[in-house]
Amino acid sequence: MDVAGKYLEHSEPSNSEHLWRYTPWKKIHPLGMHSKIPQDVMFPKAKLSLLDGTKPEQISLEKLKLDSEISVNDPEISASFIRALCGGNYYKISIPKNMSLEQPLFLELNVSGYVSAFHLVIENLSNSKLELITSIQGDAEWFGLLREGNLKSNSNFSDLLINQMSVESSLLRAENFTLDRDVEMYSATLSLGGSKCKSDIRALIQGKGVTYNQKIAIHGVDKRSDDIHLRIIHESGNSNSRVTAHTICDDSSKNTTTGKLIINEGAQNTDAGQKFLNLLLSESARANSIPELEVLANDVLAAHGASSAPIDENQLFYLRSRGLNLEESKALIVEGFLMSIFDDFPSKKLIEWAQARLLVHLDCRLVA
Amino acid sequence: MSKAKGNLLEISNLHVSVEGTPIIHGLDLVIQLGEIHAIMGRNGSGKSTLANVLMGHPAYEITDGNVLFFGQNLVDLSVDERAKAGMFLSFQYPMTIPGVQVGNFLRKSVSAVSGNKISAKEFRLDLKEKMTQLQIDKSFLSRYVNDGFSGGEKKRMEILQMLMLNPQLAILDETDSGLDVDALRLVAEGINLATKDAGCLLITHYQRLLDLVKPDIVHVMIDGRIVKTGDAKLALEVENNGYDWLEV
Repeated sequence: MDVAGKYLEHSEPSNSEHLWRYTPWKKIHPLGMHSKIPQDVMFPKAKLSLLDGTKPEQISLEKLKLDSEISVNDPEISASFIRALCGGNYYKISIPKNMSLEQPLFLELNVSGYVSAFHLVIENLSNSKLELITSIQGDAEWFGLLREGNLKSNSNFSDLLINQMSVESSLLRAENFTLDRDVEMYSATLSLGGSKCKSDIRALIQGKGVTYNQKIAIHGVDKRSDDIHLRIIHESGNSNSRVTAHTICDDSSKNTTTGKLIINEGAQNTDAGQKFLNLLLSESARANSIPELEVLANDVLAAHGASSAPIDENQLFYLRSRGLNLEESKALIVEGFLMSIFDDFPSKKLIEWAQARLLVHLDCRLVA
Repeated sequence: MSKAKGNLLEISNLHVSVEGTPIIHGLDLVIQLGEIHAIMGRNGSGKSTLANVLMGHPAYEITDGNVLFFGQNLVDLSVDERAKAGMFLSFQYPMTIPGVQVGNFLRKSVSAVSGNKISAKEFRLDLKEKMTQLQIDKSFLSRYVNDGFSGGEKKRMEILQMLMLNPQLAILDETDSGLDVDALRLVAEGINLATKDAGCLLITHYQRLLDLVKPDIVHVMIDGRIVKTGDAKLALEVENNGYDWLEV
C-alpha cells in the first residue's frame, strides 16, 4: 500500500480523544475534509549548513524515498498525512558513529505556497553528538512538518525548533523519536509565528539510562491558537524525562497543552515530570493545560503541575519605576518568562541563537 | 558639604487609600533639592504607602491633596515618566524578574531614563565604576534580576540602580533592613554619593543608618500623619524612647 493509502486507512479521529479534543482534525486539515489529500504540494526550500554558514563535512541532507510498498504504521493520523503529502519522499540527516560536531547544524526551511510539507528523519548513531537548529520561515498557508528519529545508544542530541512563519500560516507538526539506552535528548521549541499551530510530539524511551528533556516556549498574540500534545512513553527503567512549557497568551490568543506521561510496567526507577506555566497578558487570552499521568510501574517518581496567571502588577511597577514604559516592561517580562525555561539547557549556542531571534521578534512588536 | 537649594517635592494635605481603606490622612511635606529627610514610624504607620504613592503604584489612590515634583502635578505622570523626571524608589522588597539578566535590565533602564543619550561604552565604564564602589562582582550581571539574591544582595542592587540612574529624588524604603554592618556601610556610602546634589526621602526604623547618612530633617509618622518634625536629634529620641510619647 502506498503512503496515501496508508493515510486513508485512518478513520477521522474522534473529538473525544484527548489529542483531538481542542483542535479537531478537520480544523487543522488544509482542506477541512478528512478523505482529501491536497495535490500540488510545495516542498520548502531546505538548506543545511553549520551555524556559521559553512558546509558541514560528512553530513548532508540526503533526499530519499520510501519503498512503494511501505510497512510503516503511524500510530496517529498527523504523521501519516504528512507522509502522504510528501509522496513518500523524505530527507535524512545521519550522524555517523562516534562523531561529535563542533558547532550546531542549521536547517533552514523556507515554506511557501498553499500547502507545503517536509519529512525529516534524524539518525544519531552510537556515541554521536548533534546540535541542530531547525528554523521554519515563510508564508505558506499551511505547512506540515514530520520529524522522526532513532537515537542510538549513548548518543546526544540537542535540538532547537523555531517557528517564525507568517501571521496567517497554519502549522501541523508531528514528531516521533525513539531513544535507545543511555541517550540524552534535549529538545527546545520557540514558537513565535503562525495563526494556528497543532503539534503532536512523541517520544518513546526504549532503553535504560535515558535523559529526555522537552522545553516549549510559546508567544501567543492576536488570534493565534497553539495546541500542543505531548506523549512520553517510558518502556525501560532508570530513565528520566522532563517536559516543561512556558506559554504567553496575549490579545485573544489561545493555548492548549496536553501532556500524557505513560510509565509502563517494566520502567521501574523512572523519574518523570511535566510542568506547564501560562502567563496571561489580556483578559481575552485563554490557556488550558492538562498534564496526565498513566503509571503502571510501582517504583517511580512522577509529578505534574500546571498554572495560569496574569502578569504580576508588582513586576510591572518595578520595571516601570526604572523608566521602562508599559509596553517595554511587558516585553521584558515576556522575554524573561520565555527564556527562563531554557536555563538548564545544555547547548548554550542554541539558546543564544533563540534569544537573539526572540529579541528581534519582541522589538518588532514594540515598533509595531 | 555644600548643597544646591531648590524646590523638589511639595506634598500638601495628601490623603491616600488602598482598596478603599484610607492609609494616609492629610500629610504635608516639602523637600528641597539637596536635603535628606528621614521618616520614622511604627509598622503600618503609612511610610511605605507614601513611598509607593509617590512612585505611582496603581494600587494606591490619592483621594485628596496635591503632590508637586519640580512644580509639576505628580498625578499627571505615569510611573515611567516619574522615573524619567528624576524620581527613584529603592524597594523594601525588590521584585524578582525571572529570565531577565541584570546587565540587560540595567542597560535598558539607563537607556530609557537618559533618553538614549549614553553610549554603550560610557554605560560599561560607568557600570564598572559603580559596581566596584559597591563591591558587586561582575558575575551579577548575568544573573536574573533579584532571582536567588540574598537580602543584602537585593539592597545593594537597588543602590547600584540608583547610582546608575542618578535621580533627583531618591526614595529609600527601609533600604537598611536585612543588612550586616559591612553591607550597611557600603549601602550608606552609595546613598551619600547618589544624593550629594539631589533630594532624599529615607524611610527607616533604625538610627544605625542615620549614623552613616546624616539627615537634615527627621519626621515621625503615626497613623498616616506626620506628628513631629525635627533635626537629627529626633531620631535619637525615637531610638531611646519609642513612639508612645508622640501619640496624640
